[in-house]
Amino acid sequence: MNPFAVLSIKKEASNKEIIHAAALGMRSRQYSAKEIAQAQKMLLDPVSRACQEFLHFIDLSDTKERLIQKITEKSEYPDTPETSDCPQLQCLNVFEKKS
Amino acid sequence: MAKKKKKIDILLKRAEKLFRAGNFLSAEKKFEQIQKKLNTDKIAKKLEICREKTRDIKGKNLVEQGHNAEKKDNLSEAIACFQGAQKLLNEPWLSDKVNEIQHQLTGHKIGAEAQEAEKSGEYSKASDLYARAWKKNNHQDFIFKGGVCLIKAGSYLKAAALFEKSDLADDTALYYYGFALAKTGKHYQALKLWENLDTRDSQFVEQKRLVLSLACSGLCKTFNKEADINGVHHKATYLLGLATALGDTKLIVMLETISTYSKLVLIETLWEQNKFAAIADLLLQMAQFNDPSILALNAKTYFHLSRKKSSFLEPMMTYWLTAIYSSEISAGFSNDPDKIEKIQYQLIRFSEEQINRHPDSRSARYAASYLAIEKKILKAMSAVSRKHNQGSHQTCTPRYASIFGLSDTILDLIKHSKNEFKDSEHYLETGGYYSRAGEGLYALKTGDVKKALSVVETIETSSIEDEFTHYVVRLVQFEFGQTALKNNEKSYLQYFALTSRLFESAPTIEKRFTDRILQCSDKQLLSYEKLLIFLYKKRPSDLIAEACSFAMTQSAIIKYNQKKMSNKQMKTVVEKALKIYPDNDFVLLTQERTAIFLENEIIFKAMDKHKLMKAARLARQSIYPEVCDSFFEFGEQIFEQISTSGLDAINQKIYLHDLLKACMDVDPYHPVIDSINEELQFLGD
Repeated sequence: MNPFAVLSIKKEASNKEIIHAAALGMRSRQYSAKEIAQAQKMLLDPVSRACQEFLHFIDLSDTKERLIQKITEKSEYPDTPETSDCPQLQCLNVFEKKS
Repeated sequence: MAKKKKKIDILLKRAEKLFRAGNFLSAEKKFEQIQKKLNTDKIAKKLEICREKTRDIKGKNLVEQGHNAEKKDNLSEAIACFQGAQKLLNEPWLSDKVNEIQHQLTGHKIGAEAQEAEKSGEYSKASDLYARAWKKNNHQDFIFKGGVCLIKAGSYLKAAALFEKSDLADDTALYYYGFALAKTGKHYQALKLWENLDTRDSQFVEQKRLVLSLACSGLCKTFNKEADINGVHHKATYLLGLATALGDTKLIVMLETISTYSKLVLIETLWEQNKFAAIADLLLQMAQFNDPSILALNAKTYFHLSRKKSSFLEPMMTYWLTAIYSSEISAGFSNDPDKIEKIQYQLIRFSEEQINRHPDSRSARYAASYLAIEKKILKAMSAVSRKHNQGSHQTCTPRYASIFGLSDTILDLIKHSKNEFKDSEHYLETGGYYSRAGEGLYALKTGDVKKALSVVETIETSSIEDEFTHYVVRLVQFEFGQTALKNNEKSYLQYFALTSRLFESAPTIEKRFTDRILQCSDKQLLSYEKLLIFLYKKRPSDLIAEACSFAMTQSAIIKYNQKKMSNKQMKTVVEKALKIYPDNDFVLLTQERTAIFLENEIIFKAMDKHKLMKAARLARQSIYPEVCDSFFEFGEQIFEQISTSGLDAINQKIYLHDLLKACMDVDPYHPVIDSINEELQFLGD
């Protein structure tokens, strides 16, 4: 069970928001009262909450940023706009038809 | 006159014969000759038929010649033939055909003009002429030539557009189209087109390399701006394959990075949709990417997947502990070390619960074993890492280290932290998991001794100077040897060839083994005796000596009790056992008992033969009081026998005097002496 999904709250939700979300959840009846209570309990306990955060969220932004940086740093290839000519690119006669 | 008539008849006959045979041309000539002479209606009719047929044949011949000329591209001759046929045959299509070929001929003429223009370097003009020629006769060759002229004129966009219309019948057309695309910046499409060109020509390979680098450069500029991340991923994957084939290391690194980036973007979307299987597929493609967030992602993805399918438990265990013990990941849990520890503990419990969801699964059993083993390893490694203030990668499971090539680094850390371990066995075992023989140790510790042996048998140890690998090889052989011994395999001793070195490096294993021997039941000892003698010869340590001497003595007792060994044989064995381990209390006791037993037996035999004085001397000389006790026990029995024998008083007195003398020789104060004296007095001595 993903308690964040059950309570429809964000990773950063405060305890107050958790309690509020649980009350709303009870009214909406999308999840059972037991599930909502369980989700609330999971998120109000700091150790349990940290575990749930680890299980249900990913943060790849730093890794992506590092990759972009790596690509930008290493991008040292000929600068060619989409339609412009590249002077090193010369037509070869390797495939010329034999007359 | 008759002669003349006969000649005409012969001619007529020939003409008729030729007519019947369908040779109308020859028949016509003959009938013409006859008509000149006879001039009849009948011959005139025949002549008409012949002329009609001949015209038809000539017309068809001309049609055939026309087709042949067309095939040979001799369009002028073809036109002449079809026009000739048109005069002879009344067929309307011939007129169309003549028109069509005339059109083509015009096209050819234009084509020829185009060729001239091309030769004189007027490429734009030539390409226009080729285009006109193509419109005239729809000949694919004109498109190709027009395209080539456009390339020569530097009009690459137009050339590409023209080639797109062509059927790209051969490599030349493919190359030029690809070239035109490359020149217009469509490098990826050019490379895709060129993948159909099977050549190793160095110039072409170089050109491909250049276009590949241009394609890569283009991708670098747009990869993080593209809305279609799937497209970026496909392009990067394709170009990466090409770069790998061309061996371009720089491009490989670049494209791998772009490919990884696009995968991460895809994963973010898939995570929101809880599509963990698709994420796992992408993660498998970036298995060599060592990054804390990817490590955590692997751990979580397999955790979620293993909820429903037990086969994901093993991959989960490859990442789980490494992830939660990673300093970079655990730093995100909390700033408080105590709280981090609690979270780690709870996450380990989560993994245990996940494993327990699949009680009947083999994967779950393996995962549980891995968890038990790796918890201990990581506990030790965390302590070592903390002391050495190393980075997070030092705290990883052996299987994770193996995947990411971290094993050697960790082994170095273990070597430099030898003193941090409980004992040499703990040190060697921890290193053993990270060594080349690690898989064997895992198999051994999860109860699969056979697999463990097969793993270590593939390792060539003679060239290895790694103490951890040697340790695992020796340990596995030692454990397998014990299984072989239990299974009564004949050649089990071969597996103990390296055991002495194992004991030398890890004395705690030797201690456990010998302690177990000393606790062994009778039957087990019989099988261990030979092994211990073998081990003692190789390593005469106190522990082995004690166990060996114990096993020898116990075995001898068992054999003696089973009447498979005589008293003397037993005495010899016991003496040998004592020589091996002189301080062995059990052997000493056994030796004493054996000696007493032996002396008692001799005394009993002597007394039985009424050699009482000999028996008395032996009892007196014996160092064991038990022997004297036995002598007097026998003496009392003899005394009883004499008293109740029913012999006359004289004989009884003779026997009693002999007994008294012998008893006095051993111990003059023994109570039996009083009894004998009383009896003698009673008998009137």
